[in-house]
Order: sequence, then C-alpha cells, then structure tokens
Amino acid sequence: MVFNLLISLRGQAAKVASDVPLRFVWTGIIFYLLVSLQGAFQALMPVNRLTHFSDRFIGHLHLAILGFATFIAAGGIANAWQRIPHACYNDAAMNWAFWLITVGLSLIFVTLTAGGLVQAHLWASTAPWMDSVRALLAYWWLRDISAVPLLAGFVLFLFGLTMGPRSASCNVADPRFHSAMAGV
Amino acid sequence: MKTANRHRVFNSVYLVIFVAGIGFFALSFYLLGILPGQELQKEIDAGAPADMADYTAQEERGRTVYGREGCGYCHTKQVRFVAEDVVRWGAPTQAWETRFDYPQLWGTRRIGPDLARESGVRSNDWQLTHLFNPRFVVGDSVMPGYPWLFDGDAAKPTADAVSLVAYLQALGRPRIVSGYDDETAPAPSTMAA
Repeated sequence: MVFNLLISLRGQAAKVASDVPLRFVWTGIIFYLLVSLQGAFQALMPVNRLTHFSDRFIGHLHLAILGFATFIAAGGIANAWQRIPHACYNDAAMNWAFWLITVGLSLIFVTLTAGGLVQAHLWASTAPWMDSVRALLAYWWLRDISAVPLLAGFVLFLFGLTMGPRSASCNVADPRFHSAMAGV
Repeated sequence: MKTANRHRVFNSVYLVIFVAGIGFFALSFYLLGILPGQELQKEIDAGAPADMADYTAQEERGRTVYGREGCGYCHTKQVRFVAEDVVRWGAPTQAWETRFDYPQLWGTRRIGPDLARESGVRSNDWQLTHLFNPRFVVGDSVMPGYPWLFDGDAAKPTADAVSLVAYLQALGRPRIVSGYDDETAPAPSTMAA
C-alpha cells in the first residue's frame, strides 16, 4: 500500500506541498509506514518485555488511529468535498488544520513515547511503583496541552468545509448542492 | 483450438482464485477465531484445580463494578512471564486463573500497579479508604476517588464498594488456595530468568 501510493506520486512530488488534501493522504501513508515498522519492532520480545503496558504503546496507538486513519480519511473527505459544486471550501483553513493536527499529534506521540520509556525503565528497576507515577506527571500534562493544537486543527478543518472564499456562492441549503451531492 | 485452451486456462484461473479466496478466508477464520479458543480451553482444563471455586455472587457483583468504573483502564490483572513483573507481584498469571472471568478484564495499560495478586495484600479498610480517596493512603496518587460508592464517608461504603473490595480480595485467591505453587514452584522462576 505504501509502495503503491508513493510510487504513484513519482515525478509529481511537488503536488504534495501545494495540494492540502493530498498532503493529508501522503502524511497518513508515512504515518502508516512508521506505525507498521514500530508495531513489528515492539512485538520483538526484548522490546516488548520492557515496554508492554507502558505509555509507549498509547503513543503507538495514537499514531495508528490519529496519524494513519484520520489523516487518510481527512484527505479523502477534503478532496471529494472541494470538488462538489456549491460546497464551501477554504484552502487556507485546511492548510492550517493540517499543520495544527500534525503538530498536536507529533507532540502527543513524542511525549507518550518518551514518557513510556521512562515509565518502562522505572518499572524494570527496583524503584517503588509511585516513582513511575511521579516521573510521568510532567509527560501527562504535556500530553494534555498537546490536545490544544490538535482540537484547534479539527475545528479549523470543520471551518474549512463550511466557510470559504466561495461563501458568496456556496450554500448547502441550495438545491443545486443537494442535486450535486446526490450525483444528479 | 489454441484460443479455446487459453480460455480454459483463464476460466480455471478464476476458479482457483475463487476457491483460494474462500479457502483462505475459512482458514484464517479457523486459525484466528476458533483454534486459539480451543487451545486456551485445553490449557485451562489441563491446569485448573478440579475443585476451583467460582466467584461468589458478591464478588461477581464487584467484578461488574470493576468493569463499570473503568478500573481496567489503568490497572492490569496479568503478571507477565518476565522477571520485571515477577519481582513486583509474584508468579506469572496462568490461563486457568481467569477461568471464570468472562469477559476477561486483563487490561492493556498500567498507570497503577497490577492487581492479579491483590488477594490478602491489603486490609479491607485500606481498600475502602483508598477507593474513597486514594490520597488518604497514597500521598501522590493520581487515581480518582470513587465517592459515589460511599454514603459521604469512607466508613460508610455502599454495597457496590463492599462488593468491589470483596472482588479485589478474590484476585489471585484460587492460586493461593490450590497449592499450585507448591507443586510447580521451579517452573515460573526458570521461565522468568
């Protein structure tokens, strides 16, 4: 799947930078590659022995669901939506949405992965259990804060689909929009 | 003639793909959906003590509370076959130990410690106080309190809280009662090494 999508773009890589929905999909593919490699790596016994049940796995899951699945879906939705006649679409908002979601997700992933490794090493040591909880507090706060750009990104994504430079002509109450949606 | 032969080859290719598609689907269904359950049942039957007691009605109610309150989001009930776990909680969890847990509540993430060997580790009073407000007994705990399981005071638990504590005190009990570790004590330590 990764090969198929990346090779399909051969010679047109510049499009990834200019086309926001395509960039969502492309980034989703990269996340998919990363999450697959990470999953296989984590399944190795020496790694799993240390990190199982730790927040490292929560970071891994975020990369799969928010990184891979959400980015592909968002790219697909935006790409189809912007081609529907009389549907609103705001490319600048979408661009901001992309960067905010990417930054938020990356922060969550890095925080949870780093925190998970700290946690796992404390569990493997002779330190009391509560040491791992105290050590992780800072990471959990950082992870909470990471949700701010992430949520802002999703709000902007919605904004990009409902408001836009075409707003003078775009109107979802317009019967022409509904006929377009119905494929008439 | 040649064309006809080629067509026959193509037709059989579709047939092969069709049969292989259905066949591999059936195979994966068996390998992933049926076989593991059968193997697990065999292992449970082979390991479980003949007189292993089921949860009491109260403990079963506590199990429901454990699931409802989301204890499993932060606590596991599964000691792994690795030294890191065995040092903290004791012998690794055997398949038969959660024989009566359906659905099982093993958990997937640890913020608090594992609870698979919680039976008899702490008193009922400690457990109830901790459930009412964890900070009363563990200073820096991040676990939420569960005051709605009490009538306004840690000394006045509702039936739910009492059931939950009864359930916690039952975790790992079948293993203690069975004397399983007296017979097979060397096995876990060699696996953990």
